[in-house]
Amino acid sequence: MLLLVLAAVAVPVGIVLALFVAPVEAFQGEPYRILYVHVPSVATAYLAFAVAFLASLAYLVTRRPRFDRLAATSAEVGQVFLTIVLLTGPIWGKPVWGVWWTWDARLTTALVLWFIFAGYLMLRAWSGAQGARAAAVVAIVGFLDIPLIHWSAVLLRTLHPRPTVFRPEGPALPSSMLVILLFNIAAFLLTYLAFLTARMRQEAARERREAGTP
Amino acid sequence: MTVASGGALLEVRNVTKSYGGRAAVHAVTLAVGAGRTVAVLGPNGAGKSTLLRIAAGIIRPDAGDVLITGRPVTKPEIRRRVGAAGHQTFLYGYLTVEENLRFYAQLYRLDPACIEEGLIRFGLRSHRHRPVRELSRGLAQRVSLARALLHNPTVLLLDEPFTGLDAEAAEALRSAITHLRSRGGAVMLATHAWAEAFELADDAVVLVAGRPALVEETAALDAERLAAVFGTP
Amino acid sequence: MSGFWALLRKDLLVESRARDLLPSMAVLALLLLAVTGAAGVGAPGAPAMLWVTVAVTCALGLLRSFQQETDRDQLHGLRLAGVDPAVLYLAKAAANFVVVATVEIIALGAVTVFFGISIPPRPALPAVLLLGTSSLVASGTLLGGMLAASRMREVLLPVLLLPLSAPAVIAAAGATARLLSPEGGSVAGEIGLLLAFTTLFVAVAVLVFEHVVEE
Repeated sequence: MLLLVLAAVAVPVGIVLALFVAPVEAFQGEPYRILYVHVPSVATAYLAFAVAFLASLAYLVTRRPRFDRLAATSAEVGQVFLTIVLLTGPIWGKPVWGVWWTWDARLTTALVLWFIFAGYLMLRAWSGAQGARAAAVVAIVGFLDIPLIHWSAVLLRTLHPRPTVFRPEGPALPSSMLVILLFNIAAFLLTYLAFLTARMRQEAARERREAGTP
Repeated sequence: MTVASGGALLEVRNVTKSYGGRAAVHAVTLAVGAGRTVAVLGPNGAGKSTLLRIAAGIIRPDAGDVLITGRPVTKPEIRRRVGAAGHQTFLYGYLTVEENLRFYAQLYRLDPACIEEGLIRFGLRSHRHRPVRELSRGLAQRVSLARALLHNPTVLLLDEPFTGLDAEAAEALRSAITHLRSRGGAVMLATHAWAEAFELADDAVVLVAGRPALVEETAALDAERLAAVFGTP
Repeated sequence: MSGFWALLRKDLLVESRARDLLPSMAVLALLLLAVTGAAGVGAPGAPAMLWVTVAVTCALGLLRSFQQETDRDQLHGLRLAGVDPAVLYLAKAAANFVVVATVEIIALGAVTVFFGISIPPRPALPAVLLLGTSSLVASGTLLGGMLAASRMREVLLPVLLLPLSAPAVIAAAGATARLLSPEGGSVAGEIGLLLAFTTLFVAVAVLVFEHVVEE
């Protein structure tokens, strides 16, 4: 409950900061502001899938239903954020690069990953409890596939702006932008956690109800 | 409640298995001693087939375990001491009778001579080159039994094995069971035909809705007692 | 590993009798290539079309190798005989490899005809073909085994196999394009990726297959 309240407050604050407080970017102009939604969504989505990966491993080893639920829920929420990434990417790209889409490494990886987890969710929807183990394997190979997808697209071509935040040398954003970006990342992570816990509770209640009926 | 007397070869311990919230088998415990035969009786849907599959180590129970000569059936080398034949034949339709037996002989690392023995025992020599998918149910059942006995198992699990068998094949099966028992093996037989049970088994377990409702020596059973449990024979 | 050879021999024997998987996959592949060629895709698109075709054909065909273990509960017979699930996977993958490699060679022949390209004799090309096949077979066999009991398996296998094998398809297509071009070039990166992909899926499959097949 507390998480939901915090998230409900943090996200609008983050949006206001992004739209009105953050300074204008020198080369890209106003459209760059979508970075404050796009980047946190990327971070949250990949984190969510990492959680799904670890939970799936744990489920295969221990067979505790809790882990299965965590994997499924995290994948669900992660997919929502990944969808936001795929929608905000082109919105950002069109005014800045002139095209709606390119097959550079990061967009390709995001798109293919979206399909992998769409398949994961379909598998869960159509197989129910029996499919839990199969779904766990999909989550595991899906996550491990990420570097391979990225690498294959790099071998082909790349156009994405060179990383400015997630770089080995450290972020290259001016501190004013960086602060707002970090705030938004935190806000999105809070939202992820809020949704995650709410859905987990929902699923646990549903399973208890179903087990109770003879 | 256990049924065996001394040195249980096959032990099913407190086994439970549920499908979709419904318990197919609930807290079933039984044991079969060397040289003994246990009949598992019950109406359709009572859980007999599930119990047999759990005993064979084919299905993992939700709770409880199965031991053969004191060791868990989850271990592959222990499972290989088990022979099982049920509603499905485990055979490959496109392969001939002989090819199917050869395949299983290879899996069990057996001397190829046992294939010929298996064919002779169940009168299959004239059918050896026929693909299994062309066989009648009775013939396929015979091949399945030959497969089950190919590796001289210690424990034999049979689910309605006499279905579709003619007199000759039924006799072959009965003598195979007798032979196995005389060698100290154990047999668990699921059936809803009580005549079979009375004839072949030393002990009987009656399952109703996945639970053991009656455990007795067959000599002590009669139609009245069974009717009391079921309602109708 | 004695079970491996018995299983492989059995699978190839069944396929040689049934004679349905290889012909239907080959016809499907030829059809996809013919239609795209007719629809205007030219020589530049040929390498990508080759690999997408093989991937789609795998996605539709690889279910079969495990379905033959379900119609008479054969999988139970294997489990009873103590067959190691990892060995089962490897044997199935090997059998699938034979089928898919055959389809691929046929598809390659069709590509040269329908898209009007010639194949320069470059030693790296067979390596790319082999590793591309092994990548698709390694992932397809794992998924096929997982989905064998699933309700919507005919839809789920393509839906899952295509994105998961995307890196292999992309790398194989890129390498094939470079090897077919007159200048040629190094495909070491792509070969490395295909090797890594195959290794990843085989390793994961060998580790998790017991969880996949038990009930």
